[in-house]
Amino acid sequence: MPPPIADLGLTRTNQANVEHLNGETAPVKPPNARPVSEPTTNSTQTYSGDGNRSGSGGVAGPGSLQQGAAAEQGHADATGSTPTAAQLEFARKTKEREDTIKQNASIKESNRDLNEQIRRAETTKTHLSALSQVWDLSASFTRGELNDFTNSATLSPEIKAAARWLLSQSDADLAALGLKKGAGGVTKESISTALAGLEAKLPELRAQIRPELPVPGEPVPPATPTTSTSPSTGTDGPNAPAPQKTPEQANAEMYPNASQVPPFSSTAATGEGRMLDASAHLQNKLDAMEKDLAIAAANGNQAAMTAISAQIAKLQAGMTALMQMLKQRQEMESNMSKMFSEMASSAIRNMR
Amino acid sequence: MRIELKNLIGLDGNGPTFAQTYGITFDQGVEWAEQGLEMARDGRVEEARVILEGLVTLNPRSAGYWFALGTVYEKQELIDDAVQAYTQATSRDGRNIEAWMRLGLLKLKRGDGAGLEALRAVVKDTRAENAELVARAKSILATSRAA
Repeated sequence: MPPPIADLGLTRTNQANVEHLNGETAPVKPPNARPVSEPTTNSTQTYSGDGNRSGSGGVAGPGSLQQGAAAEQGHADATGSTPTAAQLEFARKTKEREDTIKQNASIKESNRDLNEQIRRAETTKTHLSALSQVWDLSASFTRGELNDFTNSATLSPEIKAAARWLLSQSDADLAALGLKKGAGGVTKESISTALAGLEAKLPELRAQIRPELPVPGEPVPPATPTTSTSPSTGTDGPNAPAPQKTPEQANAEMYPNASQVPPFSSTAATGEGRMLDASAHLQNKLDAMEKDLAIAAANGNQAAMTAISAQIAKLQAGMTALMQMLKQRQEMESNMSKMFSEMASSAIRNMR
Repeated sequence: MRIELKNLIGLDGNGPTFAQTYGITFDQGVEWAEQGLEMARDGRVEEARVILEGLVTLNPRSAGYWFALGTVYEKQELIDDAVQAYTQATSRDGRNIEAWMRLGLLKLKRGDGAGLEALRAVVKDTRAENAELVARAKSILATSRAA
């Protein structure tokens, strides 16, 4: 059973919520909060719950969706107008850049871990190699022997350092390295096995180090004119490489019908009105894509068929979710108006 | 008809969101989301789910919608879906510590030790308004170390 909603206290205007909706930093507001079962009219109440602001299985409080100052990424601008091609390109490039930076951060962290592992493995390898040069008839290095090594006047500094290192290792360290302790100390056989293991492991670790990706330059906002479309690039002439297709051209080739569907436009003033118009636009787009799929199938273009099918599936999933939401909202509004009309009738009856 | 969560997750690509294409603003989205959450508080959780799934469809880049949807899934005891929704929220906004907290607790409830990692993300938060959540996460982590 989920806990009663009354138990749930969620911040009304807290910073985290403002930010997670905005995707940007918003001005800090005091963490006013209220238990969610209380009337929404009092926005200044302070949360006095039992400390279960999160993790109690309750729904987010209304305040968790209060907007901050900035528009959230992925929405239309405040005018509700649809973005221009240049704005979309800018958004795409910005996202691509942010993704690359994020990936690089993760690569850097992973490389740091790997480098640390490599450093440790190299140290261990150096010491074990030094010890493996000590030849005698015994099967293991005893503590006494190792102590003698560290004080020896004849042994090399490498062997002395290796002996000191081995003496400093705990039983757990030795076990982690695969070094076995026999009755007489660390066995020489386990040293040569561990050494071979390290020699095999090091190239593997090094191979896992990844270079960071080149970060694309910061895109220029659409309002600023760019020179990238300048025709005089010095690449004309008979030996000029074939011009690369623009995304629009590639799109028009793969979607000869869908690319002809005019961009969405709506004169509706409300979000609901826009969504209703959107459903017709989405349906047109889907119909056109079905035709494009048929063309790709007729041409035996497997890659195009796969891409178009994926797009159709995506649009269908989106359309279903949006239509369900719209229906839900319409039902809600119809119930509200029914309720108001019942209230009005009742008031009229009472007046009589 | 129930929308498969993986289809909602797959809606986020490089192109414009439905919200951008169809001119749905942040204010409009927030208004609908608040109505959806109000429904959930009234016990109309199924209806709330439909609204919030629609909003995630409109803008799958919004950590806030994913978080709100996660809370509704949690209320419906759709724990796997809630975990996925909170994961989406935290991946889109690493500073959403309420999502980290709920993600951590749900994972721990399922016996998944990765829940501790999520709680560690909560503990890193230094914003004063989140002190209560941070303290709670710290105490859970301390208990887990002692156990």
